[in-house]
Amino acid sequence: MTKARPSWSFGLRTAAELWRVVAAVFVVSELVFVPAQIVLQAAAGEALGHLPDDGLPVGEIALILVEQVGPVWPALLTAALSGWCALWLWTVLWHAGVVRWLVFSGRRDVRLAEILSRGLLHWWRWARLALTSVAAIGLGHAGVWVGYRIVTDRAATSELLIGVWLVTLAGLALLVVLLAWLAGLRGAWLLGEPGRRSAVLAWVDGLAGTLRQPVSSVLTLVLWAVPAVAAAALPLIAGWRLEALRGPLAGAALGGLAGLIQAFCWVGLFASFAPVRGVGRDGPSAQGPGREP
Amino acid sequence: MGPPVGVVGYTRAVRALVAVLLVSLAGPAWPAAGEGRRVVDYEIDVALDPVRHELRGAQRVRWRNTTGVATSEIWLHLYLNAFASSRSTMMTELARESFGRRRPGDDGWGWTRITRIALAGGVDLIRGMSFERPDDGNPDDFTVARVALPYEIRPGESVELELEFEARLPRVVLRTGYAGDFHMVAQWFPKLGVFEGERGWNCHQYHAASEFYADFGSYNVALTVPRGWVVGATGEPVSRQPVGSEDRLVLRAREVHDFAWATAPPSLMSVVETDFEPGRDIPRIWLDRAAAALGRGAGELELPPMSIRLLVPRSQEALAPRMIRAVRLGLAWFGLHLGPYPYPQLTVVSPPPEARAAGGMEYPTMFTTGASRLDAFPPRSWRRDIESVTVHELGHQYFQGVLASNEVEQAWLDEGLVSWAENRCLDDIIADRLAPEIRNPLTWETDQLLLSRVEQPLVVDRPVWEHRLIAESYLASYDKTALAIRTLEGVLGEDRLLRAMRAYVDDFRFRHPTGDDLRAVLERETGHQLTWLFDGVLRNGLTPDWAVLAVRHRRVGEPEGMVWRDGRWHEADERGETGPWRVDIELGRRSELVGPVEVELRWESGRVERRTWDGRARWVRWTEESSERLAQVAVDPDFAWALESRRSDNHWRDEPAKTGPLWWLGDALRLIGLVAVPGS
Repeated sequence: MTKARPSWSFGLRTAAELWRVVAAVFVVSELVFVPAQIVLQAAAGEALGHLPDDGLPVGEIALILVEQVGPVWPALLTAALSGWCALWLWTVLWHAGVVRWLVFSGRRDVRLAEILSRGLLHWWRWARLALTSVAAIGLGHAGVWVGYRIVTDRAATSELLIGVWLVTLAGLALLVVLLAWLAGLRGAWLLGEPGRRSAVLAWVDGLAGTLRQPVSSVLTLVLWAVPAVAAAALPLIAGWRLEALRGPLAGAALGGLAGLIQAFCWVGLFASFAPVRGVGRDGPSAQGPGREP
Repeated sequence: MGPPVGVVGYTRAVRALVAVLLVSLAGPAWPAAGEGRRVVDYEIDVALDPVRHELRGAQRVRWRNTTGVATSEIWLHLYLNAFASSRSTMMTELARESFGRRRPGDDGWGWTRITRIALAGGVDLIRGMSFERPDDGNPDDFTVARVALPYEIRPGESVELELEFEARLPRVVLRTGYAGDFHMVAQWFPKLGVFEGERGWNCHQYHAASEFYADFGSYNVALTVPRGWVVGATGEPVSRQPVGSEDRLVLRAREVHDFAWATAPPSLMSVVETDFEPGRDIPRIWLDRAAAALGRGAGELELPPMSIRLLVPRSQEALAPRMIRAVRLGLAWFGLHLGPYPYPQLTVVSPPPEARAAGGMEYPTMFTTGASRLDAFPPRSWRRDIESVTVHELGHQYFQGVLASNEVEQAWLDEGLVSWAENRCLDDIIADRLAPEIRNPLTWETDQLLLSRVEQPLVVDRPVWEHRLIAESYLASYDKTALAIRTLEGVLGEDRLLRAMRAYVDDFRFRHPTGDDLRAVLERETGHQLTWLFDGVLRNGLTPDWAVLAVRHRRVGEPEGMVWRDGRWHEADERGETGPWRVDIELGRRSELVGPVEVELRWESGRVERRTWDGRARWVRWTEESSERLAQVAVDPDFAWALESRRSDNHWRDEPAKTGPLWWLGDALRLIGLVAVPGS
């Protein structure tokens, strides 16, 4: 299974097939930050509604935000962090569920409840894998920071050389995220193999697989992640450029569309790394329900 | 028989005065030496032991009683004793707050000791010396000494003292001391307080948040340092000669009120000798703008060239051009707006990272800036710290160097005015893209945000040690005063304030202005009573707070109910809903601070009206009749009252925006949420 290449087209087909999962990812992604928005709206909504549409200096807006939000910042921070954590927990959950469903289910009909219940049952194993990714990103970035300090310690050396080093370090920081992400995506599928228990080993195997197939791995990631991030940024850019798109209706419509695209891309990306010859129509699960360890 | 030993007669004083007058007549618009009241002259010979970080010195001080009251004592500052133990007033104040982490450490305590003090000629005074604690009575504080004289120094008379002293520099925790081989030698010699006649000697203890106050005079200083070590100091170098394994430097400074120096081996610090050349370094746009603002011709704003000496750690050499650019821009801005820098040279020291606590400090003709080697690289290079600190400390050459206000009793007079000027200068630097690295354009906003978090009324005009916290004294002296002056600028107009500030500097150069002096000049130059500023903001801790309390619309039509017409009662017409609008606009003043404020009324058709509310009443109701509804009201629409931190109730809209300025929040949260995905 580990030698299978990621398949963008398989991801596309599977994401379409798993439209219920896409919808769930969309809904949850929208909901997780609602508490933070409610806190902010309750604290500052009325006062901000009375501000003129334009002409206020940045400093005054910042002052008003601090004045209004200052008293509720613990609640706001809690709500925002909770949203972030909820998104992380949920992503682990549906990753686990989709792997278990795709690897071990022989049924072709997709039932969201079944996927989620499978994910819930094995959530902790995939959470360990996700934590390994987080640790790897943290360690990698700490290394980049140490490199930054070493380079800047040699401030007296050529500025050009230092510039090259700094660009290299910035690239390394990005590379760390990409590698950890790809290792996590592959590892998530490897962790679904019968007999697999160690999330760390699955992540390491995922990393090895990524390093064996760097081009196809990165290409697949880019193909899905770029439209997902672009979709997330679209409402911000559109609202910034066109005031008409900031309104509640237009804004919600644009935000909703962007959220759907984003959800589809995330499911498609994840499914793209499924070992194509090992699962789905080509794999053993197509012969009937697999025996779950 | 001549005058008593140590007392110089009237004839010498007259001779000195004549010399002063001659020099001032011969000089440019800002005469260099001799213009102010020359009260004290120091001759100091000191040697540094770089291993033990100790100083051994001898000094001769001549003090002239320029007041109308006689005195039979001399008060001295022994600043380094503030670092002698954890029980000194300064260390106690530091320990009270988070600054308490700043301790010199086991072998890093500093002290100073007078080993001999006598009248010139030999009368020993050491037995008549005692320690004084005028501010807090702390028996463990030894930063102020009183020396009894055997006779009175009458008005116009002088006394000459001979001292010998030993001192050890502390490891740098605040302003002075050593870090490795770097030595910042400040507050190092026994220094006279200021005799104020009926008020006696003004000689405060050394406090954590306070700086200094001293008379103008001349300094002739000989420094002995290890051979080849670089030196940056107050004044102009006269000579440098090798003596054995050491170098002996002689420096001279005129019309200054302090002397500081820094030294380090050349392997640690390098020296950049450069200059300020007005034709090259004054941006043309600044010259035109200043001429227009001050109502003077460009020729009247001419600045003299001068030399600049920068001592910079070798690890920060890449930052030297940026520091020099900041110095030159600062000299141009301050010179154009407040008058030429009055000395021929300026020394700037950037302490090494280990001595960071010595950075950001002003001395006459010299200041320390501060930087990190990381400032050479993004993202830190995008910050404006280097320009901010450099311009600020340079500004002190005016507000404190030349206008030598009492930094202990009225710190706001120098720190606040310099902070205002620093922000104005940085605004121009950023707006004119003279420091393109800077990505953070916010200047006043930082002060406003900091002040908005203060819950207690912040009284500015009080001695620094009377503030509850060191942080509060900084907020009061720096941020609040700067914003108060910015507010004055907003209320009266930028040009008018600049002219008034220029007049203040012209009137009080080489003197010791007080808050009352500043008030008198500002009121005279602006033609306004500034009670709200000096009594309200600075002395009573008030801040402005206006609000739109309510806006109500109702139709003006026929009365409702029954009307008397044609000799009988009729039911009123239903036309009451079709007449013009009667609009009640209620504005309120939530603070005790009274001052005039602009109000903008924006009507449905887009018509805009500006009015001024004098703000005297607690609230006011304006009733208007109009065929259209009022769409928006803004109190202080230009944000002229920069001191006001509660701004959310200054605005009112007939139809509150459904989206508002936070339309982007949900989308931004979603975007930030993506950070969770790679980790999953």
